[in-house]
Amino acid sequence: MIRIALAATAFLGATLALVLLLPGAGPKLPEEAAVTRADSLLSQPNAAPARLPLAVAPARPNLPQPSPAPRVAAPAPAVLLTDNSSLRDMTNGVLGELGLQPATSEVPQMRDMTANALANIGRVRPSASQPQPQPEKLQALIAQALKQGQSDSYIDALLNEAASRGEVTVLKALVTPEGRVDTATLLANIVASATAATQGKAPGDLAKGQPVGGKGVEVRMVTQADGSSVQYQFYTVGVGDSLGAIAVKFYGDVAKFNMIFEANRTILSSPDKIRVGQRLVIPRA
Amino acid sequence: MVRMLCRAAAAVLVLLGQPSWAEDVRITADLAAKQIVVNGQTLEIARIQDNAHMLTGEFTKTSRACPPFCIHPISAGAGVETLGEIELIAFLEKSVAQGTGLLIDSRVPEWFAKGTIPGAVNVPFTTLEPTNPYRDEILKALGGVKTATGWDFGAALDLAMFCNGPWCDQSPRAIRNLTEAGYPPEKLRYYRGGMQLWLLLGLSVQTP
Repeated sequence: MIRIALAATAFLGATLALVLLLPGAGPKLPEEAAVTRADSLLSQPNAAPARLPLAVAPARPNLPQPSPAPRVAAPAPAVLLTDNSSLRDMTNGVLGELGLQPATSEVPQMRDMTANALANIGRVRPSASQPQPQPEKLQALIAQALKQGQSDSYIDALLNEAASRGEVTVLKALVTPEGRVDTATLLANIVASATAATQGKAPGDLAKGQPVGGKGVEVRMVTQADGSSVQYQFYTVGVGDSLGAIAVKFYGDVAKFNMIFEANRTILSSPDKIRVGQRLVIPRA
Repeated sequence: MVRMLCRAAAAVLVLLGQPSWAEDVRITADLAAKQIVVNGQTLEIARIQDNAHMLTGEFTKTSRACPPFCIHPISAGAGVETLGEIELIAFLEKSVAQGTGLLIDSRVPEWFAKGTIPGAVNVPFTTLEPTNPYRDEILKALGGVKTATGWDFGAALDLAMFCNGPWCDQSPRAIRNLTEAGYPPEKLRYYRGGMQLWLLLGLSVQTP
């Protein structure tokens, strides 16, 4: 059996050699010699095909037919290569989708994927669809209104109408206890970001580190067991407030709403579910 | 001579008769093609009419590594009906076109973009994982109603899910995640053949 297998290898190699080398280059060898050579091939199989003499070909008639078949069926290396690379891409892609990636990139990715999936469902079933998160549409709406030089109150009405019809969705942090879109904060953030973009200055720079006063703000010094004191800030939600607006108030940046949300998870189920009169802990920036 | 004439005549017939020959590859003996109107858009499902057509590329592979690309059983879960192509087309006509059902391509968007079954919407399996913090939005869009105790899927859509084929885990996984979330299995269907069989049968593919 080993002999047959070896002979099969030799035959394969010979066929390759026939293709690669000039015809008639090698001397004719008796069959035994071919097998002996094939034996030596075992130690260095890679070098085999090129070094095999042409004349091994006559060994062919002696070979049982089924033996070479499985070897011939083996895929050519070139095919394997593409196979592997696309499999790797696929695996990496799947791993990425499964969240086996830094958490920072996972959540926005899932948000985008979810938003796209929702949009896909909505395209087929507009009646059954929920409000679609379409930030780009919201942006377009605001940008258009700003370009037209519309007043803040006009934009406020426009956004609220669009949001109530489910045409746009807004960040949960920008929903007031009355269920309206906090357009003022939204616009203030756009203006602040625009200012930062043009002057290279972070929008929160002014507010940072400065004590925030005003209605609803409460600062308490708590003395701890070791004698040191820690300052706690609280804010009581008022009419028209949104988590985003509160974030702007304390940190100068609407995007920091999440800090407040996280610090108040015990009383807030979602950033858009704040109620007038709720007393929120404001973590230090 | 007569033979040659006959051959020439046959050749001319072949050339002239293209339209009538184009009906050669039917979906079933009684059905050449199917037009389905979904949300005002007409979808046509037919088969490639070239008798010599063969697949090339990705869907001709025989030996993807398992795991992860293992062969799936016929059933994707207790109570979940498994569909073939004819049943899938019927689902498009009876449920999707009527607005009571949705054909869901569970693959990731990159694959969906390469081509999908006409009428399918892309809801990647990853978005139905319990780890997706935004999953509730999708369950709501599918008609689920969040109650004090959990979800009410009584008015939810009938779903037919598919992915790349019998070796693809994505739609069975999506089905598992849906049933675990409380989606009634009788509202779920599994097209096990997936893109692999759909393409192999030369059925229409829609590129979003």
